[in-house]
Amino acid sequence: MKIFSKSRRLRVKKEWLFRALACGLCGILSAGLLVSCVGTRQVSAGSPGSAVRSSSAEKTTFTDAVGNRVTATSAKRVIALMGSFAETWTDAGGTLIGVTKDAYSGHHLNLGKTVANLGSYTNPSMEQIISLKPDFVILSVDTPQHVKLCKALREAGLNAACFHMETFVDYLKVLKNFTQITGREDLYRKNGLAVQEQIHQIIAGTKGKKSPTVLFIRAYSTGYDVMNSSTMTGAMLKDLGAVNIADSDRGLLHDLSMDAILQHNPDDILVVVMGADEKKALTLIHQQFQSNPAWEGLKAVQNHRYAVIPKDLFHYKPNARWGESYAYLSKLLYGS
Amino acid sequence: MHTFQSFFMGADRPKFRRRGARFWLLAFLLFLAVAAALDLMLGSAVISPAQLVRIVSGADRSSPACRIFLYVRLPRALAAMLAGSALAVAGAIIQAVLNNALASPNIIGINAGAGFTTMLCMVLFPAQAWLLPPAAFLGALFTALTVSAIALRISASKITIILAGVAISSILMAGIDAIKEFFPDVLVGSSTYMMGGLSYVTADGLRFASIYIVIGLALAVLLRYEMNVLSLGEDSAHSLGMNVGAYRFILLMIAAVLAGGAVSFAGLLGFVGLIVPHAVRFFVGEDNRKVIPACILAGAAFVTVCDLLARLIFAPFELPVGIVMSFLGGPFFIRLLLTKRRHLHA
Amino acid sequence: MLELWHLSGGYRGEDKVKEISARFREGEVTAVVGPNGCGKSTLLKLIVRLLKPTSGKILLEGVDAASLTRREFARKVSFLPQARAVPHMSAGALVLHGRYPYLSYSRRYSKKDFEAVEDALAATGTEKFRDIPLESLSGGERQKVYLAMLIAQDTDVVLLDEPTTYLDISRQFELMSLIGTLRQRRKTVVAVLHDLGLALRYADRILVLEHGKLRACGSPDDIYHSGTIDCVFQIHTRRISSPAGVEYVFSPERSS
Repeated sequence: MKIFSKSRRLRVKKEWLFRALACGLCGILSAGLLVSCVGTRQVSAGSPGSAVRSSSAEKTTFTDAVGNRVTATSAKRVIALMGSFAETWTDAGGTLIGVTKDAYSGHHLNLGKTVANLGSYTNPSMEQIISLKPDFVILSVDTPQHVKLCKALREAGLNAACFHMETFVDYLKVLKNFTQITGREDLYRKNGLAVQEQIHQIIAGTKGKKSPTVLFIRAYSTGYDVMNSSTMTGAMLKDLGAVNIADSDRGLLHDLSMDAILQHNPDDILVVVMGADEKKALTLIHQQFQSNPAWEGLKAVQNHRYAVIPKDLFHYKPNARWGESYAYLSKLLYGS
Repeated sequence: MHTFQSFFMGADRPKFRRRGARFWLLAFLLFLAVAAALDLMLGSAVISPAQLVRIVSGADRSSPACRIFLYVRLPRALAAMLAGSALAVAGAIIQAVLNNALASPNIIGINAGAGFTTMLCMVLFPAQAWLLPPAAFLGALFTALTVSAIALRISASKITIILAGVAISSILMAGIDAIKEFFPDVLVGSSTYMMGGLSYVTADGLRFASIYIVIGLALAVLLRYEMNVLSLGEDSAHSLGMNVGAYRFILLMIAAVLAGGAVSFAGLLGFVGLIVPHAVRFFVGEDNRKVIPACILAGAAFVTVCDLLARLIFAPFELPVGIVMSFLGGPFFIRLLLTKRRHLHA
Repeated sequence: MLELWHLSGGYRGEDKVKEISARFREGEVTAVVGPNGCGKSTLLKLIVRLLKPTSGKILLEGVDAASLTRREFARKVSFLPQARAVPHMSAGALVLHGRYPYLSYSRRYSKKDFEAVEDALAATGTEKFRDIPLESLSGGERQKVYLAMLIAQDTDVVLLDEPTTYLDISRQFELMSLIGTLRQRRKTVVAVLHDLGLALRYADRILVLEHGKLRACGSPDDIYHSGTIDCVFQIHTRRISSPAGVEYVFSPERSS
């Protein structure tokens, strides 16, 4: 009994000390939450983007793909977090201070030493982005991480927006928004409207011709996907009047067998290769399909209508060269 | 210096206990404070204490360092601490309620349940980001109730409980895969969610979850003693006058709230719920009155440290936090299995 | 005093225990015996409210036990289950848990709690185990600590479900005599015992159960002379008087 009460007194004292510390910790935690909430309101007011409230007519407001109302004054320091958008921005006459790794391949951009490489587009470092003090940050709405990042950047008071680009129509819209910011109406006409005209003419040229059936495959070193009309190139094929066998036969999207191809016997078979190891991808296709004896019996093969199409026109967004893509396909499908 | 063998055989266990539990609680607190401070200061740009003072006092309002501190580091550090505490305490609670030292939110399927409903929510209501925390919470809760029902109905042995949890977990994970199969567009970034990540956390995004978590932690602290009584066994606890069914249910709900809250912004972080309570017991003993507070501190510290390492190791590229935690937690889990065997024979 | 009035109950609605009426007086140790499956453990679980009776009543000092709250009930009735967990705590901590029904919301131990624990440890001779983890103790030592926990719970009624299983024979005797000391504390002790010898030797009264029904109730002498045990267990019991005391010997039924 005596032993208990002595150590108990000591324990009670330590108990209070500990409680004080615990309260302290709770206090710090709450303070931290409070600071971040308050900080949000403080810094938003001082965001660099809206600092220039000059009478210049370079202020545009549009709604981005996530529903943010984006007010972009002339943006000189711009970061594009996706290669295709980097190219679109350049097409719109803008300059870049930061891009992601994928901008360096397949987009033919002249990126000098002053442009920062922010690494992979899937998980760019928010700290790096902020350190570069951008006026405007371009993100993609089709990458969930980007949507999150866009929200975070906007909360930090930066001007960030998400865009969607899959088909030419999307590209035109994005180009319009971009050229509104850069003020280069001429480039909108040159890289946008003119291309649109070109495409319209190409499509008009296909009217009246017999619609070919087509199988379109995207290959990479470890596998392949069958692409239907909801994809970029698939949409182009559809515009040109081709019938994608994957649209009617949804099973092809999951499983492509030689039997299935024989059954549909498409007029055209197109393959685009993605990824770093193109040779391996083509070898895979060879193993899966071309080495099969039934391959030679396919209509498309016999008519020399099997083609591997270039990835800078049919995997990466062609941007201003979209017209070229349509022309290339039209030639393959219809020969003119 | 531990030899490889003694590390895995837990030969050092008595040594730790010689120092009182209070000492270790203070030590954890200090460790957490240091970890948090480092997490706030280090990164792609080092923010010195002087800069910190300027930022907090309001003198510096618009420099990149200020923005980074307020909008990247601070929310992230808070998220790490909240997630760490929540998951560690959820693990401790589940281990106490199910009287099973190998149980954790992960194994019992709470994480998978929260993940499943979150994915479902992302598919059905893609634009409503504010629905995700309640969705995660409901998923965690439902899974907890299901496992609890199975456990209490069969009066299950510990093995049956774990198997039930594993079965439910695999059903839910299959559900997640099914969603990914039918709605591939929505889930391009889902692998990051699966592994758990604290990227791009905002204070706004933490708001709802933090309320759940703080309440859950407070309740867990209040019910520490009850968890001790539960370890005496169901019949004994009942005969001492405790409403065993009610307390088990309440405690599992609390664990669900904590785990659900954490999962809603941090994704499926594994291991914290299993590892931290056990690690903590080596230092403060088995008494839940000390284990719970220790879990709050140690859990927060563990995730903060892992997040810091995840950001620094391949800077500026960020590893998902889950990977770092698994690499740190994995060997520890092996040690756990080896020492656990010794206890069973005792 | 504990009274049972036509108590029936069991698992999942099926009555394992049928219409048992009995009276247990304070300062007495009653042993409940019977063949496997006769409902002895079920009876205890019904009394301690782990199972809900389908009919009948339990009275504590004339008050219907069902009207008591959990806390009130726990201050009157304590129970040692057959399946005993070995929690990770010291012996002293375990015995302290016996004070749970008396703790306030703050869950802090008072002076009275510590005194009760010391008293219980002394009564069972386990003071030296106070800071030793339970898993380090032998089965017999642990059982004494569990008994100490029940003593610390300070209840009028003490129920024990097969307290001597898995113990060495000397430990069994030791435990039974410890249980016997509860008489001096005016406690009503009801113990389910598997071992007939222990029951006949240490109990003041014996209840014999068969198929959920009460077959006989009386002092060891009465039970012995009535031949109920022989009938229910299908054995032959003989009593030997020696200077050391009375011994009971059991042998298989004579086939004739």
